Amino acid sequence: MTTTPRRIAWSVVVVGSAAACAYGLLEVSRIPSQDFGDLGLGPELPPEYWACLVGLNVLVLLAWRLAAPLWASVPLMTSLIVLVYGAGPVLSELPRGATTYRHLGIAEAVGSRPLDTDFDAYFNWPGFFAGLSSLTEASGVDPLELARWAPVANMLIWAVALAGCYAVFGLGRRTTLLAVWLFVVANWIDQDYLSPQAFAFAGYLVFLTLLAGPLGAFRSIPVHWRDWPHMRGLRHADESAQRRVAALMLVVVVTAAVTVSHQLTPVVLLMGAGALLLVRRLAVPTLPVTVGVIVLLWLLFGAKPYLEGHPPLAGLLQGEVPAGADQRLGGSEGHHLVSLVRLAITGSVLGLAALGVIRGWRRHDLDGRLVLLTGAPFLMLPLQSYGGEMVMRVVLFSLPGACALAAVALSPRRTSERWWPRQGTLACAVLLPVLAAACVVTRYGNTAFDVFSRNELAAIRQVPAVVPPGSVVVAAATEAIPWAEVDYLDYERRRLSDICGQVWTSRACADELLHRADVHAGHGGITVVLTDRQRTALRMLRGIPGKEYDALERRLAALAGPDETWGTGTAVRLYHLSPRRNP
Amino acid sequence: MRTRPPQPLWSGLAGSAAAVALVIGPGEYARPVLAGLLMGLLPGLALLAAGAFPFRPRLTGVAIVLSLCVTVLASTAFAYAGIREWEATVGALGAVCALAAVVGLLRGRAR
Repeated sequence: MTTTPRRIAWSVVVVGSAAACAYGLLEVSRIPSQDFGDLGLGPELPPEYWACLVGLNVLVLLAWRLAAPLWASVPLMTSLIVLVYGAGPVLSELPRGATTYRHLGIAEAVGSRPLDTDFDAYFNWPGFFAGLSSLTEASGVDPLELARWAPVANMLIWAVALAGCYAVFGLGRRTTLLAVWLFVVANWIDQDYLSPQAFAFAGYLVFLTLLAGPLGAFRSIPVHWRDWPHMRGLRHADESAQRRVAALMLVVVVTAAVTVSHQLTPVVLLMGAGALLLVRRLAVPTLPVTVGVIVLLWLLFGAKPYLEGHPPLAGLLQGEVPAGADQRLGGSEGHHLVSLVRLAITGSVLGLAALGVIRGWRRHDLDGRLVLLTGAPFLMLPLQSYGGEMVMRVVLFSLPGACALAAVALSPRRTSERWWPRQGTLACAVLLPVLAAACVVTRYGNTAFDVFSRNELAAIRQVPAVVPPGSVVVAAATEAIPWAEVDYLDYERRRLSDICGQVWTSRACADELLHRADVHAGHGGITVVLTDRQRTALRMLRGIPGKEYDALERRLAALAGPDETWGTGTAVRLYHLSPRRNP
Repeated sequence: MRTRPPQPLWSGLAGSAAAVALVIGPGEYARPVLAGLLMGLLPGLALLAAGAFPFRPRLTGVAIVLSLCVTVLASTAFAYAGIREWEATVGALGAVCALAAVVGLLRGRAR
């Protein structure tokens, strides 16, 4: 029976968490400058914010220690998510990250013009963008505002879906809450912005929930390969045949929606289904085949235009070394430090997960499904040709399983409903605040170049009106330019690294640009867009000195001449290189 | 697992009503709420109910993501068909909700 003083204590904890969240964000809103250093937002955050963050992590332990009811965890979890993921939206009145703007532009193009599947890869997987277009038009919400708060909304959806997923994997309620909390504070990957992968990740969690829940099976005899694929000795986890049929149909709906939205996630769905089949915990052995058929059909018909020009694994077979993975660890000292903290977060969670495996094994409580779901995404690492971001995607997809195992390491038992012993509490008291602080530092480690001002956006929106028709527009660093938000199909865009390589000198790059203007750019030539944020991004990410960037800009100004230079002295400058008549 | 009585049909009916209200044209503040409910919650709840899943808080995430999936699939189909009016997607979602309600109703009678 709950005593009144204890009830008062819960209430104080819940109100305290909401107050900590509100006060922390108020302090973020008071940060005056948008000129951040190489460490990003972290060093600019006032001590009050850090105190609120640490306090929130202590409050949740206090709430659990006081045996607070589970509903009390909802406001605590919400406060944490809003405090960590809401700092970005509060900091800037525009969405963070250049890719967000591109996604808004694609959604606008999909919703307002005929679908041109030959344009680029996005239009071969248009599902998310079509849905986003419908949502913004039906709701009347400003797309920029929607994109600004998308990280908070996505993380809330992920947290709810994750809690449901852990429940069907047999985690006790307390262990589930700790696992979700760990996920929230260990997710530095920053893929929760308005993107197809964020939607597809939510689909992946629900896919796992349906497979491990109504379509799951109890294993009653040990696995023997000679039994496969007959799956003898299995019992359905859900006794209702009607629910199993319905769940199968829902799995098809989720798989189809994910398949038409994102290139990579269907592969992870297949891996997840395969992993559950491998440990004989899937009651429908043919389900991976069904998923595979849906994916294959889309590749053959929906994504055919793209795949004709880009055969899968072609780069891998040709021995191409993708850019990106090494770049994420290189660059300026500050960026390197942030990258090391990211590695440390992932290493800590995977280390704890390994401890959870050992503890679970010793207690005869280990769920092999969680181990496989943590490890399976690492099989995707050879597909590095996926834009060099594969490591980040692998970490994201392995995080749900890793966090569950890490929570198991800190709990008395996997299915435990009671509170942990003192050692577990002490470990959490140290671990959770440290992880939360590291998460904030790493998530906002790129704010020096991925936060934009209204003036910049307004200037970038003017680009199509300024550049000559047919001109290819080149940006020095696409990570740092909010372009293509309303004019995705209106002009051709290129990255400077596609033309000059990852690291360049101003003389060689200017010559190459001039050459491309003559040879490859048709009649329109090339227009180069340079901004101060791109200068910062190149220095931070690729170690290109600022003076080299300035030298390139001077050369371009000389080549373009005053008649074909726009925005001199402002945040966004354009230099147009016309094709020479007799190059 | 013990079989519970089927969930009431309120989610399917509410989804259909929300679709109709959105198309008719609600006020400035009601529109985002109705669109959010229709595209992000009600179809999923209705489909779960039609599939004989009794509602539990743990299924909230499934319902939200299912609704988003249905929205994505409907919008994609209309994009390929060259139909670019958002009312088409809203109508399809309303139809899904109504269909789920009918299935739930028939199932309830069969019981």
